[in-house]
Amino acid sequence: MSRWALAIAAFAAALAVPAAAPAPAAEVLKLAPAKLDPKLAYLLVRLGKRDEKVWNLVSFYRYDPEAQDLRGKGRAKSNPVPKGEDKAALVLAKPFLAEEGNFRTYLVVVTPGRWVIASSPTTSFSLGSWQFDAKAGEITDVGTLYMGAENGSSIWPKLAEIHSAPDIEKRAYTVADALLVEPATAATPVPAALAALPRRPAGFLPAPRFGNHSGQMINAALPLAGGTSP
Amino acid sequence: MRIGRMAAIAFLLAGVPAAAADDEEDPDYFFFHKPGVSKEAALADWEECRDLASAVEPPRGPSIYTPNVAGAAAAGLVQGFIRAGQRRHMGDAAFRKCFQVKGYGRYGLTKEEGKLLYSGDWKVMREKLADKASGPAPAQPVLVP
Repeated sequence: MSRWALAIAAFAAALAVPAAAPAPAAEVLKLAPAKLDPKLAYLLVRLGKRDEKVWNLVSFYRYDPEAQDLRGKGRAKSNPVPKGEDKAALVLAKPFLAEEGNFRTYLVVVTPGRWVIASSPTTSFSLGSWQFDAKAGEITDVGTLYMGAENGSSIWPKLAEIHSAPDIEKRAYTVADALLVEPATAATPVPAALAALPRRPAGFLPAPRFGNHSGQMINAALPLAGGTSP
Repeated sequence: MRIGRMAAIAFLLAGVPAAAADDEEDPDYFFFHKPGVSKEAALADWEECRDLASAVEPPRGPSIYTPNVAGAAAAGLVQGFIRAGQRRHMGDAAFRKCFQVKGYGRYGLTKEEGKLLYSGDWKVMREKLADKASGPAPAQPVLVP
């Protein structure tokens, strides 16, 4: 089985629990809305390609900053997401709002609240990630996410320079992904159809830890581009 | 063969059977050390890394079509062995990543030292591992994480 097939299988397995839950799945929009629902939050996400041929995937999860875990799980088991709210959001290769070069732009409708960047196709960022608030009635610009295996295979220079030990790289399924978050700035491109809608950059805070509830490889996100470590 | 190391990792990953591996370059046994870390902090780090690494599960592959019960049982057995091996390797890598992120160095041990360190039940073992992690600076060179 190819490494990518393994990654897809791992990601599907990782999301098996959220998918079976009664809470509605967050919706990734195919088209930009004319106006925003004041009761809902919107995540604007740009994903860099995983490698020359494959688009990336990312999951977000509701986060309990006090318990330092995913809501309803592990240390935050007593703080589940209420029925009817989104507890996870999965951004797959499709649908997307826009594609330019090695980037795709996504708009995800979610329940307002505290969210964390939880996992890539192969890796849970349980050892440190980034949390942020998604507020109702506005677009939270999560910036650009770059993810790739720590074996020099990434097309992104900052990720390609990261390697694992030779015995780990020998088995592709033991190589963790790196995650680099590039926060949105005034220069970050926004699809024209979203330009007039209320939007603010995500206020990232370190999410020091959470359990490996997806059973994936583990890692910590890299420091924010130009910022601090989670 | 790295039977010793795999046995140690298998012990840490509760429920995973020990078996052989084939990495000749990497030492069979190793430990983690961090300058200035307290024993209490090292204990907590060991518990957390064990918790995260033991949750790792290999991805599930596509099911194999088998025409009869015996064939299905054989295929299941083979897949079980493959998955157990994958889980050991993933758990090993996850442990190392966890301690790397937490700022620990990895150091090799002789077979005899390793067997001594990775012996006893978890309560006994974790005390020895935390002592090693918070003890004197190792004389041996640090390994690639």
